[in-house]
This record gives sequence, structure tokens and C-alpha cells, in this order.
Amino acid sequence: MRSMLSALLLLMIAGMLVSCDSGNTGDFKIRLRLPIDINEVCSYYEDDPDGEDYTYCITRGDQILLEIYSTPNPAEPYVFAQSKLISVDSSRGGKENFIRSLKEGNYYRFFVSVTNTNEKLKLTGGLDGIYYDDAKNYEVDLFLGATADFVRVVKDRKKYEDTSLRSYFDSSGSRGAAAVALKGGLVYLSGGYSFDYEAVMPNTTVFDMHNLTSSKEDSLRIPLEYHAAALLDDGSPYGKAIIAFGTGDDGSYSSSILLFDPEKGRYRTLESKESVTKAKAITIDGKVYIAGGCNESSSSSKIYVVDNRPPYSITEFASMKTARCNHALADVSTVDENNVITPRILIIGGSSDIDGEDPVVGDNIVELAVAGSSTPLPLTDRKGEDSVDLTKNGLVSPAASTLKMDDLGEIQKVVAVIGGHLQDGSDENATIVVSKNLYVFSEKSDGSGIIYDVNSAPQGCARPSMATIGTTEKSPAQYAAVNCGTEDLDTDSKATDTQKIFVVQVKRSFDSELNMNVLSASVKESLMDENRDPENGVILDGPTVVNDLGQAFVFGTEYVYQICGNSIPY
Amino acid sequence: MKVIKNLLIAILVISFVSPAFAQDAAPQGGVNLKVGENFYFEGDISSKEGGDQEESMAEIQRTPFYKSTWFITAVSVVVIAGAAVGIYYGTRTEEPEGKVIEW
Repeated sequence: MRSMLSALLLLMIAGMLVSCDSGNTGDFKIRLRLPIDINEVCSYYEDDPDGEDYTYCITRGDQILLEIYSTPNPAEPYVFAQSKLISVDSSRGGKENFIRSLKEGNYYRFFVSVTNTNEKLKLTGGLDGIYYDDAKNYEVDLFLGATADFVRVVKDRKKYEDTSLRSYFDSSGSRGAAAVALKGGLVYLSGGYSFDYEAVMPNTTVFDMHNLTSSKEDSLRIPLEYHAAALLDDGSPYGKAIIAFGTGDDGSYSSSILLFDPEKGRYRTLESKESVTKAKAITIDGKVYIAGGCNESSSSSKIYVVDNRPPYSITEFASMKTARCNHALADVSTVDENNVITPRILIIGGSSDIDGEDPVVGDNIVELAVAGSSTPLPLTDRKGEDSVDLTKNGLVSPAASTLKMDDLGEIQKVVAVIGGHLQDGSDENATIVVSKNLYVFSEKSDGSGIIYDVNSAPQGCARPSMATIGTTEKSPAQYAAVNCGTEDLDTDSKATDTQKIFVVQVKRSFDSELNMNVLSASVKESLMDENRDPENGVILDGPTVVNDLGQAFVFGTEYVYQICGNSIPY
Repeated sequence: MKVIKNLLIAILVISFVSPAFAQDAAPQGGVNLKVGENFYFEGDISSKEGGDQEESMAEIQRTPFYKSTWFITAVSVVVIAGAAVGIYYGTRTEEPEGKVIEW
């Protein structure tokens, strides 16, 4: 009897252990997170389906398209695997299985687009860098932003005050921070000047878009503002951030080029170069190119390249004809039939002094840097003239971003240029005014110069930043997100109600006067209050960054904003 | 979950081991008179004589309630039922959801 009971007991315990350890695994839940719906407009849909703008809602009749991509190695491109189209039959949420299985050990990318009953794309969002392990359960957040519009990133639209992604600044304003859209759903933000604390910040924050959280990381070696930053893609799941130069809290200039490893949350100094600030950095083929910079007495003409393989050596790529800071960079690299990339960097505008009072003018206003050399490119309008005196007045602190126009079949790289300020008048009568022009630069087919098309912008942006967002193949228009800041030249401006974020649209149009196609640029109106978040504002001279999913991030004095593209960049 | 599991295992061990080995424990200085499979007389009758012995036998037939058959049976039923409920809830796994998208 006793031995029977003991055996039974042991059997039961063994059964419990087995059943407990064979818990349900391999579940994968994607929670779609939606923008703030302050007035609860979405709840009106059932009673009044035509009465409101339901762009921020998923309502009955909408369609959700989930595209799944995978790669066995984060260093390799994602490959399309499968898609799932879901018809929404309720305005109060829903749940649906999207795939039978995911492959163990693969990295996954998910991209979601929501179209309304008129097949108009209204919401998109995506995630990547998700390593799938069949022994685990996953719950990930996928934030859907309004396509080609900016919204604040929130985890819960109903508790948005508590669940908004926040920068480390407070309410009274900020400027000169730097950001990098890392890989695998991470976004890096560091430094900048806080008007609240009246100090340059050493802070580093990494935002994780998989669960819409932020984490405070290792501080910068010294507090920095106006530092340059860009993604170094070394094939690791999250990549690295390169941070170069900048202005310290005591007004000194940093000579350091730092590497931030998001997996360790740590910085390390790669090398020291000249002590400058307001340099610019750009990523081409995984490597980081750092150009220019100024200090109180001189400016730099150096363009360095940081290798994307350990030990991340830094070499000189080229030397600009005119040393400068306060300029903009654009990637106009070429790709041959074997997919070999030849790095080519367009350097636009800038000044030879920190404050931008001595703009680069004349033939050297635009240079094209390739390995070993940099060449000034003549700049004219379509008539072969300079109708707006761009080369005469210069352009200090503009923003530039490369767009791939492929509406005519072949890919043509053009560069949208916005904002900045310029010298108006000459000599002792000259004043500095904010540019209200939108330019589109395109290279002449024989490589002998740059042609610009020019349009007027509704407002000026004194020191903007810009990044191209994702569009579909052969799209008639291309888009770029802009952190305009203000048209106030004062870098201490706290007027948050004048600080703007918007999207620039570039498309081909026929000019009847010239009797030819030109590239026209315009500002796309936002659903938000006149392209602004009036109570919170943005980081002045702040960054705009874009990730591999074509989503741009702009940073406010308090919050993080996302601008979604139409699709993953092809 | 682990805490609940460990707690359940502990309860099971205690609840099964205690009744199973209860009969092995004899009070010090007494005797066990086995009558049938599960019944005991207990007490010290060696020092009694004659009529006193009959009286003592009457006394020792009043066994403590916690050693009575009905009590052990009832406790066992409760323990087994409790263990069964515990095992059910402790080991129950939620229905797998698979790969889902929720909005």
C-alpha cells in the first residue's frame, strides 16, 4: 500500500513537471498601436461614417495589409516572404492569425499599411530586426503613423500623456541634439542644449520601437551640442552610431569621433581629429562620412570615412575645395551592374565661420566629393542662369536629402534642398535673412554641373533637417520629412507655436514657359494643427532621421514624432 | 507560476506522505495492538491487574479522533481533491494563440 502511494505520488509530480515545462511557446502577437485620438473621433464612425476624418482610425471596411520579410542574417537584405490582407469588419478592434509558422533563427521585418474604403492609404508602420526563437512567446508593438504626416508616438492612444515617447528635454525648449535611426527598431538621441537647465546635455536615450519604450544609456564623454551623427552599419543587428565633434558646455570644441554600441549601451572613442563643431555626417554603403566643421578661428575641409568593420579605422576620404561648416550633405552615389557602390557626396552651402555670417559663395557653393578629390560644380537654373542669386548669396544651414525619381522608368537621383539663411544685399548693407525657397538639384547628364528648380515655401526654416521617407516603386511623387524649426534666426527661440514639422513633396511637372519637364517641390499640409504641435514644439536645429523602413523620426522638446512613408524604400 | 508549482508539489508531498506513514508512528512507552488492517488499541496495560484490566481496555478503545478511519478517509479525500484541483489549475496552459495581429 505504502509503495503504491509513493509510486503514485512520484508519477503525479513527474506529470506536473512535464506539463508545466511544456508551456505554450511560439506565440507571436503584433499589437497595432494607433496615433492619439484626442476627440475620440474614431468612436463616431459607426453612427456617422462620412462625418469626420478617420485617418487615425481603423474602421469597418478598411483593409490591413501585413507584409512579412525575413533574413537569416541581419547583415543581409530582407527578402519578401508572405503577405496577409485582412478586411476589417468592426470599428472596435479585432484579431486575426497572419501566418502558420515563422522560421526558427530568422530575423523578421513586418510592414503594415491600412487603406480605407476608397483604397486611400492612411496608416503605415513597420518593425524589423525581430529574431524568432520558437521556444519563446512574443508580443510586439507596431506603431502606425499617418502616411506622409507627423504624429506623436504613443503606446496607448487613450492614455497618451503617460505613454508618449519622450526625449530627455523639458518643456522650455532645446536645440542642437543629434540622432541616428539605428537598425532593428532602435532610435538614438544624444546631447543638445536645454533652455530649462541652461546647459549642454550629456544625455543619451535609445528608443525601442518594438515595445515603444525608451532607455537612458551611457552619457557622452562630455556634454555636446551641434555634434554630427550617423549610422555605421557593421552587419550587427542594431548597427552602431558614430558621433563626431560638437560644442561642449564650456564653449570648447570636441575633437573626438565616438562609436556608440547600442547592444552594450556604451561609447568608445575611435580617434581624435581637429577640434570643430557643426560638421555633418552621412551614411553611404554602411560607412560613415564626416565632412567639415568650424571652430572660432578656422574651418575644416576634411572629409573622413569611418570603416564599417572592426577596428572601425578612420581615413581621409577627400578634401573640400572650400572649408566649411553649417552645410548640408546629400548622397548621390552610383551603383554599377554588379551592385558595387561608388560613394559620391554632394556638399551644399555652408559658411566658413560658426555663426554663419560668412557664407560660402560663388562656384564653390556646391562641391562633389569622390574618393580622393572634391570638385566645385557650377550651379544654374534651367535657363542656365542663377535667377535667385543662390551662388551670390550663399545658403547657410540648409537641409538636403536625396530622392530617387523613377517615375519615367530609370532612377534619377535628385536632391531636395530646403531652408537655411542667406546674405541679402552686399558688403556693409548685407543682412542675413531666412530662405523661403524650396530647391530641387539635379546633376547635368554630362556631369558638368547642377541644375536647380526652385519653388516658394509657405514659410522659412532657419536651420532645418530633412530625411527622405519611403515611397512605392515608380511613384509619381517622392517625399521627405522636415524638422523646420522656426524662421526665427535666434537659436534661443522658445516660441513653440511657430516651430513646425512637415513633409515636402517633389514631383515632375510640365513648365509651359520653358516647354519642358521640371521638378517641383511643395509643402504637404498636415492634418495636425498647421504642421505643428503648438504646446510642445520641436528641438531647434534638431535632427530628422529615417530608418530602413522609410519611417522618419523628429524630436520635439518633449515628445518623439514619427512620419511614415507609403512603403518600405525599394 | 514557478512558485505555485513548487507550492503544489510541497502540498502534495506533505499530504500524501503524512497519511501514508501515520500508522508507523507509535507513542513512546505504549503498545500497538493490531486489530484488523487499520485499527489500533493503544495504551499501557502491563501495570494493570484483574478488573482494572477490563476497565483499561474500555479506556484504550477510545482512540484519538485524528487516528480514526473516518477522519483519515475524510482528510485523504479532501487532500486528493485539493491536489487534483491544484494540479488542474497549476498545470493548465492557455490555448495557443499562434501568430496573430491585433488592433
